[in-house]
Amino acid sequence: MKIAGSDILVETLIEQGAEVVFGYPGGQVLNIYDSLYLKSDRIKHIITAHEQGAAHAADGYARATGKVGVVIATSGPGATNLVTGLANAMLDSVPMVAITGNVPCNLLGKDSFQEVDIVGITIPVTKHNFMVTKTEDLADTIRQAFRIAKSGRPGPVLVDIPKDVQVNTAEYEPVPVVEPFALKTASEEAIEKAAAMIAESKKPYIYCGGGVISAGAEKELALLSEKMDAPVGCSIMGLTALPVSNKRNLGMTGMHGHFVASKAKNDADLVITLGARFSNRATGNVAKFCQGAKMIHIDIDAAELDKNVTVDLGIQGDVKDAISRIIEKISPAFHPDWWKEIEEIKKFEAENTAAQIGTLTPYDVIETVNSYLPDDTPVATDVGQHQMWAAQKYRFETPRTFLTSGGLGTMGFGMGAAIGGCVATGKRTVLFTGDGSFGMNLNEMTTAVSQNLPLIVVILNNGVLGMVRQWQAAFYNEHYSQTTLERKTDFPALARAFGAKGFAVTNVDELHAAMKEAVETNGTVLIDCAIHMDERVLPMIPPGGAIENMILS
Amino acid sequence: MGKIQLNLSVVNRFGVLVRISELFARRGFNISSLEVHETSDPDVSEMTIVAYGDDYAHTQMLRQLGKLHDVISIK
Repeated sequence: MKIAGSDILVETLIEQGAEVVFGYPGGQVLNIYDSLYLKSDRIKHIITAHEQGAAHAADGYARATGKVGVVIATSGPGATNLVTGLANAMLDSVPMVAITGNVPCNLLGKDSFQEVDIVGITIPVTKHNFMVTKTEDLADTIRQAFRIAKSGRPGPVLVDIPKDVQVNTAEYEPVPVVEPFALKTASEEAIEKAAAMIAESKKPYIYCGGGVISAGAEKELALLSEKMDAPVGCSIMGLTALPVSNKRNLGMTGMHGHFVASKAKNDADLVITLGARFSNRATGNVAKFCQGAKMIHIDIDAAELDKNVTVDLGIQGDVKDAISRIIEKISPAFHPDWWKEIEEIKKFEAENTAAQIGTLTPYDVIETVNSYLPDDTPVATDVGQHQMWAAQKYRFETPRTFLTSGGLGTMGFGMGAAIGGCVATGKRTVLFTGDGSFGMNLNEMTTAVSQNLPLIVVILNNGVLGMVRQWQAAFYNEHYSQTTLERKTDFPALARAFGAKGFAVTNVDELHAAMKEAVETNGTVLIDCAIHMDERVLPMIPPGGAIENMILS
Repeated sequence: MGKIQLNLSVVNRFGVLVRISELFARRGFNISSLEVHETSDPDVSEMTIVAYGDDYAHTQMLRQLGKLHDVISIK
């Protein structure tokens, strides 16, 4: 039977497993929203305050579950408002499908009202994108979009659908959920070489990226580190792949990573990198990066091999498969001397890192909030100092519980991401944000409240744009250009105006009291935590620097 | 800097030329010449790109182009 394109779209979304979609209606998606209305018993739509929030929510949904997140926006400004969300998902390899409406085909290219070439605009920030010009092609294009989004290295795919394609009819037959393209696997020769290099190593190190989580290889990672007796350091995207409680987990590496995680990587004689792309924030000066080590890099994306860092053995292949096969090939190793060295570095870090200064320190906030929440709590962040403090200090025990903007560094990501993570898991969710980041998309408090989401928004409020201020203090002669905000916003009152609960706290006791109430509240709670404006994120490797340049105090 | 010639088979669809040339621009690779024509198969076009670059650039071009869903094959 022939049905309208908008019905084909919604049926295909349901067919491909989308239970919840995020979005915002408008002129060129009215037909899609009519179909969503009629099929609302089979697919839930969550309206956000702004399309950017919807894009980040779809992203957070995907990060928390591994499923494809879906966002819908109208043409023109609706579509352009998705661009930051798509770029964010692209840089962090998050599977998403974005649906945009557009003007009817006969009005394309005429600068019609709310017309924009969103396919052209989003070429660099999507894994692929499509414009559908015939209703007959619609169902298969949507299926192809899901397939591309979740295959290999995941990413966002945009499908632009002119209004007449939504109105016209075509045959629709449901099909099963599309399978991802077959994964490339490492060659036997490469696996044997890797195993031989591991056997020779006395000071091995595993560098874990987000690809380990995308591949679902968390258990294999733990087994590999155990069998090799190797420490594991993570990129920000790799956090949650190994529980913090695992004794071999050294935590985050890189610019604001733990000193021990970066120093051990630098001192190792073998670094095995799994599903990471050596971003400049992770490596610092690449010429001085792990100079003394043999390097193995395993990634599903061949273009990442030798892109930023040249390695001794680059292996394209599914990380999960590769680790499993390496584990079979190696004998259990023990490196007590190497661990002694690492313990010494840990001790040095503990003794030499400057203490935080305020009455309520950033670490107090992270640790206190952490102590009230179960291990499977989704933890979202915005971008800046609070994000680094959370990455350093929060005790992540469960994969996919850290929803953070790693590659693009999107201030304003947090509210949408937290909403997406909360909706996806149905679990109480926490957002660590700053007063700067929160200001960017705080409109999404409306979404959290109207959906009655059990969301705890924790603002680390220093009254300044702290990360930029920290750089201005260190590298720009304390010229605090446009980073001292002097805003008069009363955040708890603002929370109440949105229909949420709001607390302001200035010490740890008050934070305990607020958290006790927050975890008993069936709804959204905001806690405004006053911290000192001169708190810094330490350690810090200055931009372009190396481990010997790391600032600890 | 040396010149690299790439012969591509691509899907014959509007926007493919933009997608491929945008990749070169985004990655900072300069194109010396670019030629594209239809083939006897209406669904396939052939493209010949000559670009400037060293071995690193050559490898990156091949691998990044290989990720585009509109690229059928590269020679």
